[in-house]
Amino acid sequence: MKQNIDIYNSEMKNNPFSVPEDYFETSALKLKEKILSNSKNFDTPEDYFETNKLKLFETITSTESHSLSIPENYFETNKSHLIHSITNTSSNKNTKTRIILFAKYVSAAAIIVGIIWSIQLFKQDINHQPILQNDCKTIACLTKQDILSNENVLDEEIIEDNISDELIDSHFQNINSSQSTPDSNSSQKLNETF
Amino acid sequence: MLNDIEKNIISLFKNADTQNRALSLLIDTYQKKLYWQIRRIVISHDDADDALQNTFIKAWQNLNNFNENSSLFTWLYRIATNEALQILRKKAQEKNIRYDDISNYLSNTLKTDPYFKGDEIQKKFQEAILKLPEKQRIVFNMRYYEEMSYEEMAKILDTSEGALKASYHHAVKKIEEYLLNQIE
Repeated sequence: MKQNIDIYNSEMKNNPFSVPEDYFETSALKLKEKILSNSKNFDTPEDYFETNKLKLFETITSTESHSLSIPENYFETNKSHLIHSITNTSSNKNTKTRIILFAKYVSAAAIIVGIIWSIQLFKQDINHQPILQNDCKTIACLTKQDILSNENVLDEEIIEDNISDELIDSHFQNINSSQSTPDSNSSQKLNETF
Repeated sequence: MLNDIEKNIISLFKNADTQNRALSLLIDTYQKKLYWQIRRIVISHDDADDALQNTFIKAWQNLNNFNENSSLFTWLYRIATNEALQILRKKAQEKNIRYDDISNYLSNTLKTDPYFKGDEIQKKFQEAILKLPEKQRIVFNMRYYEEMSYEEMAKILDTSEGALKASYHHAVKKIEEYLLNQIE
C-alpha cells in the first residue's frame, strides 16, 4: 500500500548529510593557509631574473654557434657542385629549345605544303575541258531526238551551257539575211548541234 | 547592497595590513553556508571540499574586482554554484558518462557516502531530488533547505522570480510523484 509523504515534515527537512569531525574548524585553517600560500605560489627564487639573464644569453649564443654548423669544406665543394648543376640544367634547356624550334619549322612547312596542294587541287577542279562537237563524253553528241526524249532528266542549265553561242548567232543572222529564202543548211546545222 | 559584515570584510581587504583579517572573516562568515550549497549539488564530501576551496580561492583573487553595489553573499553563492557544477562536469568527463546521466552517478555516490546519516526515506528523498533537472535541483535546494527568498535566488541565478517559482513548483511535484511510486 502506498503512503503519502509530506516533504514539509520537519523530519524530512533535517539535513541528512554530515561532515567529518571538526571539519569546519580545520577546514577554515586549511583554507586560509592555502589561499595565503596560493598568492605566493608564483614567487621567483632570489636573484632569479639576474642569473636567468646570463643563462639565457649563454644558451642562445651556444645554440647560434653549434646548431647551425656546416660540413667541413662545404663551401669549397659546393661551389663546383653548384656550377655542375647549373651547366647541366642550361645544356638540357638548350636541347629542349632546339627540339621545340625544329618542331615549329616542320609544322610551318607542312602547313604551307598543304595550302599549296589544296590550291592546286582547286585549280584542277575548276579548269573545265572545252566541250567539243561530237564529244560523246558530254551531251554534245546527243541528237535532238535524244534530248527531247530525255528532257525530263536534263537540267536546263546544262543544255544552255552546251549550246554553241556562235552557232546560234550565225543561225539568227541567217534568218535575218534570208527572210524570204530560209537557209535550210544553217537550220540543219543547228539541228545537228542539238 | 552590502550589509555590515560585508562592508567590514571589504574595508579590511582594501588595507594591505589587515587583509589576513579580511580573509579570516570571509571564511568564518560564509564557509558553512557555501559548503552546504555545494554539498547538496555534488553529494560527495570530498568533491564539496574541493569546490569550497576553489570558491574561496577565486573569490579572494577577484575580490578587488567585486562590484560593491551587489551583495557579497550573492556573489560568493554564484561562484560556489558554478564551482559545484564545474566539479560535476569534470566528474562526468572522468567517468565517461553523459552530463545528463550524472544523477545516476550521484545516486550511487549517495549510497556509498560515509557522511550520509539519513534513513531509508531520507535516502529516497535525496534520490528524488537528484532525479530533477540541474536548475530545478538547485532551486529546490535553495528554497527548501536554505529557505532563500525568490528575490535573492533571482540575483544569484540571474533568472526571473516567476521562472524560479515555476521551477520550484515543478520540482516539488516531481519529488512527490517519485516518492509516491517508490515508498509503499
